[in-house]
Amino acid sequence: MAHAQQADLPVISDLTQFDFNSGTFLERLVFNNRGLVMLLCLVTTIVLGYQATKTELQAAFEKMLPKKHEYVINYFENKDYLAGLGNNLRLAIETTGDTIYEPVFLETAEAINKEVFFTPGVDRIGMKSIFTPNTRWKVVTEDGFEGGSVIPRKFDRSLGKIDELKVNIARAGIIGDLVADNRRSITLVIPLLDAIPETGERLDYHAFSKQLDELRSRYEAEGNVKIHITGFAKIVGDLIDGMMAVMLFFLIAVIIAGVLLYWYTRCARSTLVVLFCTLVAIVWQLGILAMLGYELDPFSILVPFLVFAIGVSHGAQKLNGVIQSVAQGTHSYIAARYTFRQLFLAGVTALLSDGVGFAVLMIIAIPVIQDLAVTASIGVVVLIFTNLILVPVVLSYFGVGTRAIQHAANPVTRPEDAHWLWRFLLAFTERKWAASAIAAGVVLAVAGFVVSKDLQIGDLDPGAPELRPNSQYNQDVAFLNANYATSSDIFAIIVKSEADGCIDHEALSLANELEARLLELDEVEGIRGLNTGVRRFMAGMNEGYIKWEALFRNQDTINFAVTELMPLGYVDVDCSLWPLIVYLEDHKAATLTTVVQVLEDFKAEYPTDKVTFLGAAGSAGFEAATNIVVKKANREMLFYVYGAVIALCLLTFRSVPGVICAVLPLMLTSILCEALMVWLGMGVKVATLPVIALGVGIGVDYALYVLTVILAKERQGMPLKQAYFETLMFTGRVVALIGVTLAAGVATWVLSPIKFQADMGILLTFMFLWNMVGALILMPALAHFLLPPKAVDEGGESATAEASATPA
Amino acid sequence: MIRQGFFLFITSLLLASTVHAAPRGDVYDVLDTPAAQSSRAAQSRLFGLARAGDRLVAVGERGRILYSDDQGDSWTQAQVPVSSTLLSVCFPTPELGWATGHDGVVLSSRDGGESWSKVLDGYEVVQLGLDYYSKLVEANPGSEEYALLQSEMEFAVEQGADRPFFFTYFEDARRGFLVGAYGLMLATFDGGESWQPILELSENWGFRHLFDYERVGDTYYLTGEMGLVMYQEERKTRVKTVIPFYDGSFYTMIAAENGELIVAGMRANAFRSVDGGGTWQFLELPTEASVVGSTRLADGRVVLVTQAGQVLLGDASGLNFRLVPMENPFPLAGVIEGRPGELVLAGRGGLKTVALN
Repeated sequence: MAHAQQADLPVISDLTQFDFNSGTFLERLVFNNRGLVMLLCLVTTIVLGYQATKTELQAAFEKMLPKKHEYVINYFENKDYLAGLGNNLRLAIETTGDTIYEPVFLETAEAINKEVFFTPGVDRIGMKSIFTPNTRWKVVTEDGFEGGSVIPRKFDRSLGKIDELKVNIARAGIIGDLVADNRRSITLVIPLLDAIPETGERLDYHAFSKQLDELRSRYEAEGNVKIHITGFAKIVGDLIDGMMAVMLFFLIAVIIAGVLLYWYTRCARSTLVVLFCTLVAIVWQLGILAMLGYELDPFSILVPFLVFAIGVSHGAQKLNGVIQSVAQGTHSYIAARYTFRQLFLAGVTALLSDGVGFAVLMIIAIPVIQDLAVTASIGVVVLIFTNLILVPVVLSYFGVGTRAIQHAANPVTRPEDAHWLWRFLLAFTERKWAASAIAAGVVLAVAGFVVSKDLQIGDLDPGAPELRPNSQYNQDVAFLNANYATSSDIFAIIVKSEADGCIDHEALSLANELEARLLELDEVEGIRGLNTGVRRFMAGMNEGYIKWEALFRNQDTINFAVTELMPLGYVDVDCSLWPLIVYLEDHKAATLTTVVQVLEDFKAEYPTDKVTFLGAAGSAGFEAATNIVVKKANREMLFYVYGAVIALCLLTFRSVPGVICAVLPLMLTSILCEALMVWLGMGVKVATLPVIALGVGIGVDYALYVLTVILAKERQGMPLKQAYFETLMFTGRVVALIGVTLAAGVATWVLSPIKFQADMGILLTFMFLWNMVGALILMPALAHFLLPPKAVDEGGESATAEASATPA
Repeated sequence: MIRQGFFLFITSLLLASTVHAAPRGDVYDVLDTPAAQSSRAAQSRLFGLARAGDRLVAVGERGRILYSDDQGDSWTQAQVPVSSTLLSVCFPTPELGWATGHDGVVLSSRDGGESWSKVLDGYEVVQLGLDYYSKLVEANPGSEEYALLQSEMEFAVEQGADRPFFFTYFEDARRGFLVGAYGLMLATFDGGESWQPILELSENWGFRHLFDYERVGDTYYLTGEMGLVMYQEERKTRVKTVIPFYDGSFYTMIAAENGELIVAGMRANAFRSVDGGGTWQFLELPTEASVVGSTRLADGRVVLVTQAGQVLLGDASGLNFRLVPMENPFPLAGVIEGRPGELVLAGRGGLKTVALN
């Protein structure tokens, strides 16, 4: 941390005595023109602040997909046809009475139906419910088919008409689809348009979702009905709501950081300076992102929290430097310059090491994670300006409060006088305690490793994995799952052939075989596709006789069935593309792996040009692809992030044992983090990938702060215990402050309504805190064995120079 | 289904590359694919049930044949060389069994239904029919009937194996009859060594589908599409068509204790005859669904099952049907008595047993 030499920093209380041409070129440039620097920062803040107001929130569903995975490529290639498959809302209207066949309920339900029908963005032709004229009943009679709308003509909710409705519903075969199995609710199936036809604007899912929420509360207030809404547009709406809630947590994070900083400095003025400059960093970051055309998604919205926490910790160091100098009697302007001189390089190194952690995320081909990497990198670069330059400059104007100076004066010089906490930590430099700590670490590592063997890939909770299991949305999903024969976990196999190839008997027969194999799995609840439709239709065309329900080899009958099924959306108009929709019991990774395995085995067994069975669209299909990518990326990322951290440590410490001392505690944290995930029932997923990289990337900072100083002092010939004591006195408190500030910044995420943000919050808080513990306990313990004081190596020139440094 | 009109309709559709025949698959065909063992075999769509001594045998989708030695409590899946959907099964002796179904497939078993081999498939059946009637046309150049049958078989060969056998009846180890779609009828008199089309025996010149077969004394009855009921007295050559009294399909036929005949089918239409099929009276049933299966219990009572999953229990004279209470019903296709007073049911949801009281 402390790279400059004390000799360069004479205590000067009179500004006129100061040599304004001392220091580096950068220091002279900044401080001799500090007014200009302030002005530039002001202008930049205004310009970027204006840009930042244009920041848009986006739920970025497609950006959460691994874009290079075969399944996702297949989806995007066939998206025009498949997109309509998923973009439905299901709105269930549940009676508070006994049955839907009551006039009061039917009146309310019809009103809701009408209101939804006329909501802009709804595909009115495609909308289906018992009230829409396209829901028809059909029976086979001796003379052919007989049928009509389910809703009787001139439906006036009289008992007679309700009886007629009851009969029509029974013979329309819509129970379990539009009418609940228990007859206590009905469902509106609401396909959405991409754009509102009246205005040509893209449909704003958030606004649409808000409209539905308003409709829900208005009708529920009447007391006759309860409303349950599921579907992609609703998830998006709820996610954006969640993002807005998270923005509020930012305030909490700021307050916590402020309190910590004040506790540390006892100076309100300088605390505010640091908070303010760090907020400037956030404004700049958001402004730059908006200028570059980035939107904030549920992942990148978390970056300001991290940037803020990192910024505050660096700001705290600057503040620390200035306070210590001023306490010695130096003029606050000069103290600020000294601090800049001492700490700028160390700060840049530490920030760059954080940047390495972020940059490694770029290797994961999932757009949200790459965006996260970009946004975080921008944030870190911005911090170099705001917190390494602006903070000292502002402090050079404002100085620090007298209480802070009193608090910092008379530092403890002997270990025996230190606070009990420091004395406790110092004990780990002694053989007995060091050995115990390492033994405990080994035990934890082994236990953690054993537990982490059970670590699963993917999401483990039912419902929409983005939202919490007990969220309104997931309760609605549970309601629909319980009362309707539908599942929200859909694995849609894309069946592709040449144009007109969908009628091929062998192709359909293969689909039957694949269907049968998938149905063998306990996790598969049902399957629907062109093949199942054709089979049913074949029976339908033969008076509905059950024994005709098979894919019999009559090409003309198949052709007829397909032409009838085409307008119902079973197959595209070219007769070349259709989805074989597999309804799954859940979206657990094991389930998806089994389904993928069956599909891939099947493809390998029956290679044919006639038809290809491509994986896979649908929520579960995407999740299967994501799991495959995440599993691979998880290993790769650990490899790269540790590679980068080891390289960085080697460069800084120039000592292999030093690297081991720094990296082993990080590895223990990584293992324990995985064990914690098992314990919390959390799987490896898109959201947990960045956590490891961030945890290790930022975690190594502690090692950099602590070990650099220990090594330098040891190279001076100081025994480990004394070296560690002095290190603790110089940087130990800062390390503790940083650990707690970082943890406080991410801990607020735990409150987020978006589940993966909460998961990230828990894991990052754990990693930041445990890395701190590792750095303060395990690292000295390891150093006791690996870094005996005599081991002064040849490459230690610069380290020796640091050795005489006083960081404050 | 009236095929001629149907073709006109189809040709008007915009599917350019319409090939009338569905050819055998290149890499995959259910006729060449042995039935896979399924952990859910007893929950498959099952259509036919038969008794083989003490054993019960069920057949259904994807070549699945199951047998039970505990009257339907537990089922074991048999080894079957095809994955075609099977519709009917019959065991003239406890060891010797026959199963038929879609793709014109005919299977036989000699070990009480544990393993099966393919005897005929639809491609062979129609070729056999064409060869047979071509020879008859050659031998009887003046016969319009044989010429019609020959052209029907030519058409069938063109279509491929698209005709299912709906019902299989073997009266002993040697004599058996298979009936199916488009009036298809096949007989063997040597235990399946050779097969003979017998379409000319019927008056079924409209080639209506044939669904069920019943024997009362010396008389055989057939039911089928569009109100078809036919009968043949033994040692008479020709089948007689009963004058149609209903124009929907009759899917099942059952004789009650004293030879009272019940035919039932589409939309709960059921008729009863006490004079061997001479006159028929409408039979009121407590259902609106299609009646697709029937059986006679050891105590003489008659059971009908419907596609709405209902079980109708009548008295020994085939009257006074009432609904048997059912939990979790699913569309049914077949029924047989397991333990006395206990039914084994087969249908879209697989197999289940229900006790009568």
